[in-house]
Amino acid sequence: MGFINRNEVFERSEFSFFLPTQVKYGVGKVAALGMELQIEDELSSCNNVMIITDKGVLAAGLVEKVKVGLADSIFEIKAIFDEVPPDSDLKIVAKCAQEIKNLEVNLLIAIGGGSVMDTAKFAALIGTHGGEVRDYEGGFMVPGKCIPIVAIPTTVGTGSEVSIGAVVKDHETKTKLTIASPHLYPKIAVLDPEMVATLPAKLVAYTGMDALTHAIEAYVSTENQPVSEALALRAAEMLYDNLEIAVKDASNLDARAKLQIASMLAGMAFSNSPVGATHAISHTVGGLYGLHHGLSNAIALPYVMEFNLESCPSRYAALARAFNVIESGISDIELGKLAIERVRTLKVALGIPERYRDLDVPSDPDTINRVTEIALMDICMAFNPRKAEFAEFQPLVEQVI
Amino acid sequence: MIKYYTKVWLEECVKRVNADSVFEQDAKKLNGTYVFRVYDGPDGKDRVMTWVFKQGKITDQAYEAQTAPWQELRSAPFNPTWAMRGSCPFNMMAALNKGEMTPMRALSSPHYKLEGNKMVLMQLMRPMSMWNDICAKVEVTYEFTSEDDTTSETITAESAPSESVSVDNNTSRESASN
Ligand SMILES: NC(=O)c1ccc[n+]([C@@H]2O[C@H](COP(=O)([O-])OP(=O)(O)OC[C@H]3O[C@@H](n4cnc5c(N)ncnc54)[C@H](O)[C@@H]3O)[C@@H](O)[C@H]2O)c1
Ligand SMILES: [Fe+2]
Repeated sequence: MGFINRNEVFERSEFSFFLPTQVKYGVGKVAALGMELQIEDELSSCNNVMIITDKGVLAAGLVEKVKVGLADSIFEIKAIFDEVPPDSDLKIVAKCAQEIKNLEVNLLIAIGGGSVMDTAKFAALIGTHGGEVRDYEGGFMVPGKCIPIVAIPTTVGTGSEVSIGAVVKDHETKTKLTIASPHLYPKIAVLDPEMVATLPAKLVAYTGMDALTHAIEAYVSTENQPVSEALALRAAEMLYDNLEIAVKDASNLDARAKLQIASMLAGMAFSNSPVGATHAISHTVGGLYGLHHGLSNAIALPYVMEFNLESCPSRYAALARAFNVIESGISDIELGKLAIERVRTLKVALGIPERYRDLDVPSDPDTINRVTEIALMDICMAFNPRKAEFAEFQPLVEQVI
Repeated sequence: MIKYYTKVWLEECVKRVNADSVFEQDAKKLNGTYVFRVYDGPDGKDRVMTWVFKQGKITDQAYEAQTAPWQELRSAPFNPTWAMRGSCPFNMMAALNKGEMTPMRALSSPHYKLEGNKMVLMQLMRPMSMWNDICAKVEVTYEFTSEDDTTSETITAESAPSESVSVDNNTSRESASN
């Protein structure tokens, strides 16, 4: 029996793992983007490029690096679409898709965080197949291939550069729409640590905690399986080892590079072993009260770990090992509790508030009941290791709020 | 009126699903065996329904009901050749059929057990919800007693009149593989 895992009976009778995205990693990769893309046969006829980004990324000077990278290449930048708001927006997606059609764009380069990369995914979908986002809501509703996307992540959270899904906010109804489809995976993910060097400390903390939530929830997912398990556990370890350093020392590029890699590994893991109750609660509260997705996850994470602990103690015990817990001779439950303790301590070290009420989210019974009801209808609950009815779930939501 | 989750209901559903040309067109990926165990009916019975699909057509089906708790059914292991097995109390299945509960809400409940490869099932979400919609349109009554439902014998499609879908996964029929 290993130190990390329990060598338990392998209970799954089958599993599959899918990952069509090619990963290119390297310091300065973006500066050589044209060269990197030119060698891809599939992109040889995709010369009409739209860069999709947001104002923050533009101001950080990162789009300039893409322009330099594509200069003197076969790829012509037809437009730079920089209107993506936080969490994206249905109307913005429609506008971007229209421009794609008008300009006959056939390659999208998304440079930004999850909001930007997900906008690119939706715009590629609508730009290729028409209609509107709601027509494709849910799982596997996309009818076929979409305009290819090269994703350049500039945050260390979502893993959208290698993920099956995309999330967009309907700002009118304050709800989030999710689409999952194998056609939404970017063709290429370019990971260049220089792209995350400018990320403000607060966003390193928030997005890094999103990645940690992906790793932990994929690891304990009802759909956990050996490939995603390996990716998730390594991601959890790298995130735990580097998050605090990266937040406290902006000049530590090594730590940021590892966060960037870890968030990608976690994205690969949760695309095959979907996330659970932390995301269900976070989608709900984040949607209703406009909190950053990573912050929203970070708040709920330790509470949900506690809620789930009894349903898969050995998994939380393995996570404790990834978080450098070395105690031996104690039960898996005790180890799991230590894993939760480490996450709580990390949260404090990163300056993340304890509960949603600390961010002025109302904590009255009506809000708690509403959040409980909506979260229980989130698709992520299907993959949470512990199932729950309203009466069991409501006390958890009350604690978190 | 047809009583929900009885042999007559199953037969009506099969007839409608197989007559639906839009479904046939859109459900080509629906293959294999789908098993549903529904416990504690209003007549005090547990039920099991099996639907076998081939490219969106139901090629075989089976129904059996026995006095609850039907231990053999409740403890029968999942057969890995099945596409899925869903298990829940009758009231929950009825709430789903009435549209009072969403499938997502059921999946978060400890009272709905879903077995099978969920990642594959997610890919079949569209045809499965179409199948569900067709069945939900059958007008039914949910109120009945044990005297009302006399169909506790095993039934199968005409294609395999003498066979039944056993609850023991080792002896389930050939067509139960996908
Ligand atoms: N598709 C998926 O698989 C997936 C997974 C998790 C979350 N999400 C979604 O992603 C969104 C959140 O994405 P996010 O957390 O990456 O944040 P984000 O994309 O919303 O970016 C947050 C802010 O950081 C700024 N920024 C980004 N990179 C920067 C850099 N290098 N330097 C300076 N500023 C920079 C942006 O301008 C923006 O203002 C949410 O909508 C969430 O629902 C998607
Ligand atoms: Fe997330």
